[in-house]
This record gives sequence, structure tokens and C-alpha cells, in this order.
Amino acid sequence: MDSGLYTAYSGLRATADLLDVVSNNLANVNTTGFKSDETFQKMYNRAVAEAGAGPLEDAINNSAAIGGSVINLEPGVMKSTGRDLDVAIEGKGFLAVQGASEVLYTRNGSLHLNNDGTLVTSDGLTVLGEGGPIQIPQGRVSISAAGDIEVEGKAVDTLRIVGFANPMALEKVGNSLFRSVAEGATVEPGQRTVRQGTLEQSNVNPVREMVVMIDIMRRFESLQKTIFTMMNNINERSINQIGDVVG
Amino acid sequence: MIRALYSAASGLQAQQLNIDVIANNLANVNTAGFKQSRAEFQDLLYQNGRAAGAASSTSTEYPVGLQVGLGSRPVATTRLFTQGDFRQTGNPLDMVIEGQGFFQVRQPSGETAYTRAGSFHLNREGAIVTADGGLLDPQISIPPDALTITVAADGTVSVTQPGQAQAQQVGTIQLANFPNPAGLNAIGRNLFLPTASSGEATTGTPGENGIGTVNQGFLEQSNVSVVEEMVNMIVGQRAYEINSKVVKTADEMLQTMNNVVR
Repeated sequence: MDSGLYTAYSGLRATADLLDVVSNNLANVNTTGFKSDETFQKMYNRAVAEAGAGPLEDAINNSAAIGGSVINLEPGVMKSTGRDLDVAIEGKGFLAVQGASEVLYTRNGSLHLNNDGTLVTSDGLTVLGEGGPIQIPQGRVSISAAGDIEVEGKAVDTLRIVGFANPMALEKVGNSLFRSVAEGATVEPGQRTVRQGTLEQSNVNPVREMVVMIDIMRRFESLQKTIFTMMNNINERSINQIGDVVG
Repeated sequence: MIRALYSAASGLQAQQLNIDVIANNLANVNTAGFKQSRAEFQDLLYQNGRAAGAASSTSTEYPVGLQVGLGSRPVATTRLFTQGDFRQTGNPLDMVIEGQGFFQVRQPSGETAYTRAGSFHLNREGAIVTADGGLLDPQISIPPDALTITVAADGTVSVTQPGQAQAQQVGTIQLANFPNPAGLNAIGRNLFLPTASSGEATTGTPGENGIGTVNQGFLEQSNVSVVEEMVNMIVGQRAYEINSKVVKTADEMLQTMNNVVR
């Protein structure tokens, strides 16, 4: 039947997927260290793959799909909390934490101590320093702009802050954590500043997401109208009225 | 589409918890020794459509992946053990801990609970107790004829009695500290119990080994900042609102879909 019907259907599906991404961004509008996702659509072109297809076929056999999602790594708003174990990274880089089987990365600097005084994330994953896991003795913790941790004036370790030449290599694993397919490099203190007593808020821009959401809804509506027109006007007339002429 | 609905619902639930935590903080804005909590959130799982770096042909690869997230979830309510403001009361049995540490309170069940609320009283035997009647541990008894009670910075409690020029020591307040105070379990009535995550209590003399000192005649106020909580409440409410808009949009899109066939 009409390829146009399926083109419109593919648009409906892709638009619905876009809303899923917007919905996840807005659900995380208050998640510390969250980085929003942006999507882009792409066209699949069936005719191009067929040798010798003419320009007309190119134009009419398109269908839309989500091409991919890009993590928006813009910094979020910095919020002062006054808590000693809250850290935010201003500039490039991620805190390195030890996952179950690999090193993971996070911008969520709400850190805690576990029962033996090791620095961990809210999930209990060990935060890595230059010398591995960081043991914090009892006392007042101060963390310098370079990421050096001192307790009561005694140096303990330095936070390991890792950056990536190609941030596109990052993949979200949930729980505010990122995994990288490429090897990361330590970010030099000149390129970032560690702020103690501060948390990086989500970088979701609610205004932008609301506008995208309106766009999605209206696009969805117009695609629905397209399908409606095709089914009820064109198809119905061709079935009933052309049949009448023949009859 | 349905993912969008559930993602938005997870956002709604998370913000509801956020408001619950803020409400409890604000309800305790005048509770001595209260430590505020904050709700922390994380993003949920991701559905991976395609991994970044997967081959798009024999010689090229996709520069970006396709990941659709499934919403947010609350992960922790972190208690902030920052110091509250000190209010002078002049009552000799009001004490604050300047720095880290907790008063030890013996529970009726025999176990020890911990508190920052240093508003103490005497029971009929003259022992120092909390407002709930829990005994301060180690137990200190004040003689009934004591004229003055003095608590030194290192926790030494001494009294003067009629006819005696010298003050008499009647006991020493010992404070407890934890490797991870944020891991303590709040049981209400300003009391905390240790957990596997807080670690074992280490007791010591005030002013030693990182434990704070005791100051008599003051009370530690709640560390809730009303302004901060009001701002958090606005942010939480707006986040709730915006997630409800997503539910509405998803609903309208489903309705549109239903209208494809009339």
C-alpha cells in the first residue's frame, strides 16, 4: 500500500521516542550532577540502497527515526550547601569511582563516608584518589581547589579527576554514573577547580524542554492528521468512488 | 510514549519525597539539636538502542549511541551534621557540643542512643537525664543540696555544696563519635542509633581526638535554614509541576493516536 502511510507512521514513532527522552530529562530536573540528553532525528532512505534508483524514489521512500542521543555536558548550576563532603567540579572532568567491575565516572559530588571511613558515593561505590580508595581519618575535612584532601591539616590524598578527549565516548549507566569506552586522562588542575561545600545541580533547562515538548506534541498532531487524511480521504475515495465508476 | 508516562511518574514521585523531606525539616526548624536532611536523586536505568562506537559499516562507527532514560529515583536522604546556631539560655544543664560528637543516652531497653540535643534535666534521684527521662551515660548524679553545677569544656561536672569552699567533682561527661555520622539511624525524639554504615562509636573525653568540647548554658538550635528550605520547596514544587505537564502531554498524544481511526 502507500509508502506514505508508513512514512507518517515512522514519524509518529520517532516523535513518541523524542517525548521519552524529554520526559527523562524533566524527571531528572532535580538530580544532582545529571546531564541532559539531546536527540536528533535521521532519515532512513530505502531507495538509496537500491542501485540505480532515481531521484523521485529517493524523495518518497524516506522514513524518520531517532538517530541517536547526545549527552549535553554543559555545566549545571552550582549550589552552595556548606557540607564538607559535597564537591563540585568546575570545568572539565569527572570523579572516578570504582564500579563492580570497572571504573565509572560521575559529576555527582555528594560524597559520604562508610563505616571504615572510606570516601564513597551515595550508592556506596568507592571514590578513587590518585592512590586508590581514600581513607578519611576522623576530623574536619578540607578539600582544596586542586582536589587535595586534608584532614586537620594533614594531607590524605588527591581526588582523581578524569576527562575525556571525546566526550561522545561516554555512556550513561544510570545512578548518575557514566561509563567510557575510551581511556580517560587525568585533567590537570589548571583546567578545572574543585569546590568544596558545593553541588552541581542538574543541567536540564526546563524552558527548553517545555518548548521541545510543545513542538513534539504539535508535530505528533500533524502526523496524525496526515494519516487521517490518507486513510479517510484518499484510500476511502479510491476504494469506494473509483469502484463506483467501474461499477 | 508509555515510557514517557512512567518516566514522568518517577519524577513526580521523587519530587513528592523531596517535599516530604523539606516539610519535616521545616517542621523541626525550632527543635534543639535537630539536623536537617536532604533528599538525593539519581537517574534510573537507560534503555540502550545502540551503543556508541558500534560499527556502522566495515570501516566506520557510530559516533554517538542511542540511550533513552527511564526517569529518576530517590537514592538517599542525607543528614547534614553541620553545626546549628548556639542560643544562650543560662540554664546550667543546657549544653552544646562545639564540634563533632554526641551525648550518650541510655535507653530503657539498655542500649545506648546518641543525641546532639543537650537540654538536660535532673530526675528524682538527682541523675542527669534528657527531657524524655533517658539517663546520660556515664551516669552523673548531682547531690540534692548542690548550690551550683559547673560543666567544664572537657566534660568535668563539679558542684558546690553548702559549707564547702572547694567545688566537688561528681563525674565526667563522655562524648561519642562515629566514622560516618550521616549513616546514623534517626529514631525520633532527637535520638540516633548506630548502624552498620555509621561504624562503631568511639567514646572519649571532650576536646580530644577530634571530639568537640562541651559548653554549658547554651543550646544548639536546629541547623535548618528556613530560606534555603523555602527555595528548595519552590524548586521541588516547580519540578513536580513540570513532570505533571509531561504526563499531560503524553496523555494528549495517546488521545491523538486514538483519533487516527474514527
